[in-house]
Order: sequence, then structure tokens, then C-alpha cells
Amino acid sequence: MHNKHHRSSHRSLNGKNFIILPIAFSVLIIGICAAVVVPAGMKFYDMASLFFSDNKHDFSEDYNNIYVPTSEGLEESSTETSKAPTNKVIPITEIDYPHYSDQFGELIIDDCGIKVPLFYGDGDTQLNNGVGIYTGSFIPGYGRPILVAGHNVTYFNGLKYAQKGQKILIRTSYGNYRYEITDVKVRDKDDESAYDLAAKEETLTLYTCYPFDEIGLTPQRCFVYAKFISGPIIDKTR
Amino acid sequence: MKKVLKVLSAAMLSAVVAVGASASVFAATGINAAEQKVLDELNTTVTMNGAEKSLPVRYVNQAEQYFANDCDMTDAQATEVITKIKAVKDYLEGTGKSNWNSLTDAEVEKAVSLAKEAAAVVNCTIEYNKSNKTVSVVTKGSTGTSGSTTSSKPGTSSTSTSQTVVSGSTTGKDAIKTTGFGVPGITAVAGVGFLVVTAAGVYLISTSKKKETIGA
Repeated sequence: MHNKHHRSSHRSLNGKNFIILPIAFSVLIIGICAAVVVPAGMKFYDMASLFFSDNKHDFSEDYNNIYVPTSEGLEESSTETSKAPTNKVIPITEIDYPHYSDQFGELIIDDCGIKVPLFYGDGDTQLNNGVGIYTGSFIPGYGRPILVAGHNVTYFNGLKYAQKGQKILIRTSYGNYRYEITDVKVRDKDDESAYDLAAKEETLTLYTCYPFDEIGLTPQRCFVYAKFISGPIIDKTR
Repeated sequence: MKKVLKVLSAAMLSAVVAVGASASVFAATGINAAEQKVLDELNTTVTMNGAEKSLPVRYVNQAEQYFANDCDMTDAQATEVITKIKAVKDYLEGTGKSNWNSLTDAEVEKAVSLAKEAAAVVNCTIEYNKSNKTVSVVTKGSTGTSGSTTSSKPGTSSTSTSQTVVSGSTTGKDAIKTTGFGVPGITAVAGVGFLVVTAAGVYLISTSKKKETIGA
């Protein structure tokens, strides 16, 4: 009887030791990591990601890649501004218009160390593999607003170096597009005045969570605004 | 010789079919006059209890890209879609409510069913989730690829027509997404932390047991 009682109390003690204490310790350690280690350690995480980057993996089963780089329009230096660009017109029926989740280009900001795959769509798959255009905005060359999202600790971490006047290059299969950064602002994520999807001109807005390197959900976003400089214009009418 | 000719002609025919098929898969269709009429209709407002309500621009943009990429609407289809969109608007105006959120479940269902009819004309289907008030739209593009879906919670400034035609997003209604450290990363950190702590706990307990045994 005494033995039985001893065994059952021992079992409950084991349950406590094996389940409750580990969970409590885990929560404690993760809390400490989140508060102290992660912000300081993100530099090392970024460095490590150079070796363990998603880019090195083959995610072809997750998305369709229709991007075939073209060198047309790349003659100008990405830092050159004085030359007045000539924008040729291409019929929409001649371009390989992306579908949701297609990788159809890449986005490059030399001054920020950004060179990332560009997707149509900004869901999890796209943002885990690059940066993505919101489907409620448009693709480059359409002559309407472009809204691009990217994660702050990976592909858009370099936006922390974004400054007015820097150049952005978007390469697609149907042409190469240049933009110039006009402003950088930190706004609330629910602030709909931070972007204008109704604009009738081509504008480029990049955004990522702010502060940079912060773990978890943040209520603010860093917006980088850019104006269209050059690239083929898509003729959408038939 | 005849056999060779047959084989050659069959091969040429299949090549032509393959090229034709691939062209129809990848080529965008552009916006024709019929589609522009529908877009114009989507841009008009609906008056709900005296208040002018317009469709959120992101939905019109999505519709425009769907039309530009996957849809080749005829004049007859456009007329049918516009008629059905107007029917949705008339119904909403007739409810006497001032916005979408003030509609009853029955009114929402009726409006959605009317919107479904409009969507069906351009190969879209609509599903409404009562519990979270979200509308899912599945588009079936002319490409024959699997349809893409989107969910959106109607806002106070939207009408039911706002979800009739969209082109693929699976990440909800908001334009601005969560772009912080991803959940899988946090989960991974938590998982590793849990394993380390569990291993440490097992080690400590086994050590203390040994001590107890030696003490006894």
C-alpha cells in the first residue's frame, strides 16, 4: 500500500519534472532569447544565412519561375541619372504576364546590398523565397502603382540603408525598369494613407516590418517610395 | 514512303497544336472594350441609406489584372456581368442599411448569391464564410492551371460586388502584410529550446536519482 502510494506520487513527480518544468524553462529561455540575444545575434544570423540561404535550395515545386533575364535596357549605369531614358512600348499580348506565385523577375538596390527574386503575390511561399508584389497593385511597366513586400530580417533587411536618390532596378523577362527613391518613412501598418493603389501613374513602394531585425509581429512598417525613371511601357489595350 | 509522310504530318500537326496550346497558356489577353465597361461599372458607387459607398480600389485592380491576363470577355458576357452587378447594387440599396457590416446574415447571403451569378460569367466562384465574414473567390483562368483563391472581409466601404472578380491571393484582405520574423523561425527556435531544456531536465533527474541510490 505504502509502495503503491510512493509509486503514484513518484509518477506525478516525474510528470512534473518531465513536462511542466521543461515547458517553463523553454518559455523562460525563449523569452530571454527574444529580449536579449536575438537583436544582437541577428547580425550573425544574417551572416549564417549567406551559407544557409533559401536561395541555395531548390523550391521549384513551390512556385513557377518564368524569369528569363534580358539585357535590353541595361546599358545605362544603375547610378546614372542625367540621360533622358527612352521607353519603348510593348503590347501586353507579347509579354509573359505572371500568375499568382510566379517568380517573374528580380529586384536590385546596389546601395542597400539587395538583389532578390521578385514574385507576383505576397503570400508565405513568395516572402520565404524573395519579395512579392501585392496582387491589388500592378506589375512594372503597367503604368500604375506597384506595392512590394519583403521580410525585414531576410530579403528586405537592406532597406535599413535606403536613402533618397538611390536607384532601384527591377529586371523582368520583358524588360528592365529603373526607379529612384524619393522618400523613406516609417508608418503604422494600418495606415492606408501610406500607399495609394488608385494612382494613375507608375510608382514603386517597397515595405518591410520595422524595426529592422526585430523578432515577431511589429505594428510599424518602413516604406520606401520611388518614382519611375525608365523601362518598357506595357500597352494593355487590344 | 506513305508511312513516313503520315508520321511526318502527324508530328507536324502535334507540334502546331503544342505551340498553339503553349501560346494560349502564356499570352496575356489585355483589356478589351467589354472588360473596360465592366471595370467602369465596378468603379461606380452604390448608395446605401444615402451614403455613397465605393468598391475598395484593390479589388478593382485585381479585377483589371484578371481581365488583362486570364480573361477574354465578349460583349455579351460584359452586358450580363454588368446587369448582375447592377442587381447586387440595387439589392444593397433596397436593404436600407448604411454599410455591408450592418446587413443581416440573410441579406449578406442574398447579396453574395447575386454576386456569385456575376462571377460565374467570368469563370469565378464565390464562397462566403459566415463565421468570420470572409469571402473566398476562386478564379479559373484560361490557362487551365489550378485556380487561385483569395479571402477578404468586407469593410464598411465595400459592396458585395467588391469580391466578384479577383485574381489570386491567399493572404487575406490587407494590402500590407506581416513582414516580420516568420512564424516557422520562431517555431524552430522554440523547438530547439524545448529539446535542449528537456534533455537538461532528463540529465538532472537521472543524476539526482543516482545520488539517491548511492545515498540509500
